Amino acid sequence: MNRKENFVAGFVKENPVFGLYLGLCSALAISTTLDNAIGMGLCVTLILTASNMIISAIRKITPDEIRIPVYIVVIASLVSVVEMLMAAFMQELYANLGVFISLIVVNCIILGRAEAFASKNGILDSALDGIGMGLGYTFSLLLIAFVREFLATASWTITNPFNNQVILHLGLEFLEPFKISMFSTSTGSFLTFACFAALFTVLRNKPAKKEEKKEAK
Amino acid sequence: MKKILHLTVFLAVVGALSAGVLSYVNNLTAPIIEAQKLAAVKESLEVLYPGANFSELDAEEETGLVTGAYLAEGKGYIYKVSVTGYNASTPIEFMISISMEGKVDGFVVLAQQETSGIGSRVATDEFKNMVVGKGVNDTISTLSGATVSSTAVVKGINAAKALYGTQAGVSVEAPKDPVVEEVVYKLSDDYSSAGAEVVSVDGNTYTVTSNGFPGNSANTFEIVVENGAVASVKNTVFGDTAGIGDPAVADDALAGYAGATLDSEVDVVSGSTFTSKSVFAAMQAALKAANGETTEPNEGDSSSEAAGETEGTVEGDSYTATAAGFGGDVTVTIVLNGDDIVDVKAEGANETSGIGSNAIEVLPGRIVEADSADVDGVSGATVTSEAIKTAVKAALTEAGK
Repeated sequence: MNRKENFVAGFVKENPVFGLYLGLCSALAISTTLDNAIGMGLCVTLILTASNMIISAIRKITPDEIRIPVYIVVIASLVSVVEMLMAAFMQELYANLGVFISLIVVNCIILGRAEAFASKNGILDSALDGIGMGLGYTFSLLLIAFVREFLATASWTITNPFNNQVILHLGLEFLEPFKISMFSTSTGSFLTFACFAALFTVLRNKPAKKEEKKEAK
Repeated sequence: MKKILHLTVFLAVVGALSAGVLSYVNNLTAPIIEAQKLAAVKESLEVLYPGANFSELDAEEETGLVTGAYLAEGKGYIYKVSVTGYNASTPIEFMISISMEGKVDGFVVLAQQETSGIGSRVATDEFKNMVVGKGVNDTISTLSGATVSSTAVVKGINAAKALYGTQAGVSVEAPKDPVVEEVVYKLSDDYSSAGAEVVSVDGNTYTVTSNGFPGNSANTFEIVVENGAVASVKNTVFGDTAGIGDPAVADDALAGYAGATLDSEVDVVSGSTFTSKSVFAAMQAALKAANGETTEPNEGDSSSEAAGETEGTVEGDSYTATAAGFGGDVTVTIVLNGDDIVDVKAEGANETSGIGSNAIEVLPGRIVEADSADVDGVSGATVTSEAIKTAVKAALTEAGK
């Protein structure tokens, strides 16, 4: 697998949320608005990339017996740093995401990539893998949030997390009366997720079928 | 052995590095986070001590009522308190400022959803004046007629005072039980709002209905009158709030009224003021009836259907309309003075107790306050709220407004 394939894999084929079903807890909980999805996605991408790089850098000196505790310390420190920075500079977003920022520590995507990829590959490859996977996660959150925010509020809003100014607001007024508030709750979250997961499975299986046919011929 | 040492040292080094990074970032961000937290409440702090330098203090204390503590440099301490009054779903939030000398300087209610006109009195100047100016060792009285709400607030104030004691290094006496603000009731007073009505007379036994807490259904009493004085009072139907009104109709409380005449002073049962007043109104009606005075077609009586009748306490014309509620019809009587809605009474005996009945209690107050039927409904009691609003609109239409 070359670098480009590695990077792109995170979007569809090895999409962490819809493909590997990792990190679902936070994905389902905070994907109510695009703002939350972008904020959470970028946080995870940042932490994932940094943790992948650090873990890859120390992979040769890390004793095998205690590698998991070492990973946890690295990831937890990074999460705490990000959490403190967010509390200081992005208060609104920090309040919205709440406990799910601290829970990034136990996000399986991060620990999973550390163990499966960063501990065996070089720093540059690990960084690319982190960015790819992180963007794949962000992309999945955005997909869910895009559907949920629109169905629940009949509009999309994107705000600047540093000063809370609305950058973009797209509302379809005539759909106001048809809002489905269920989609702002976890029920709507599961429904949206299930539909996307089915779609991704179809996308993933398509190329495989073609190959099978080829072989049959 | 060497292996274990290696592992231990490695993990320790990683831990130490991580701790170093964390404490550096913490030093960097802590003052900013602190400043932002303070900025969120600064506006309310400024009301109490304008122009002071504020810093946040630890608000830890045993009752858990104090949610924020702030020091206004050189001026005093400010405490943010949250207590639950009559409305269990929305707490009363207020701020109280205590000067360095131990005197209450200010009292501001930030949020409350208590019954309009009753518990909401804790947010008025009437209550504020009872609090401001008191020393930390003075007892603060509660409001008669709004006992539940004001007792909760006084409890919160006491918690703030205790915390002040530890933070300012002053000894604060343990608070005594709050004293109810002294009000003397006489049987000859005006109890027209209870709408007491003699429904039947049997010899010298008078059966009287009278309303207690606004919105509750009427209480019924059997009152025996001998020689112009009350001989005994018996409560046959209790329509007031269980757990709050009942001490006022307990046997020993009612026995205390034996011998009362129209000139007597009577004791209100603290915490059950409205129900007590309903007993007084009933006794007054019975005594008047025994004296041969006919009870007037009753004032403030919510069941009066006659349009155009002038009510005793409120001047204006009244209109009645009905709309379908959750359990049956909801009847609303409004009193208009020109364009002003001066009084609204809602009745719906079949509305679910605790749900629709909330709307019947709360909405009339809101409608009078807003002078319009377009007010927020009571969440969870939407059907009844809508019925009340529809009926008020219908009554307004009838009035030609």
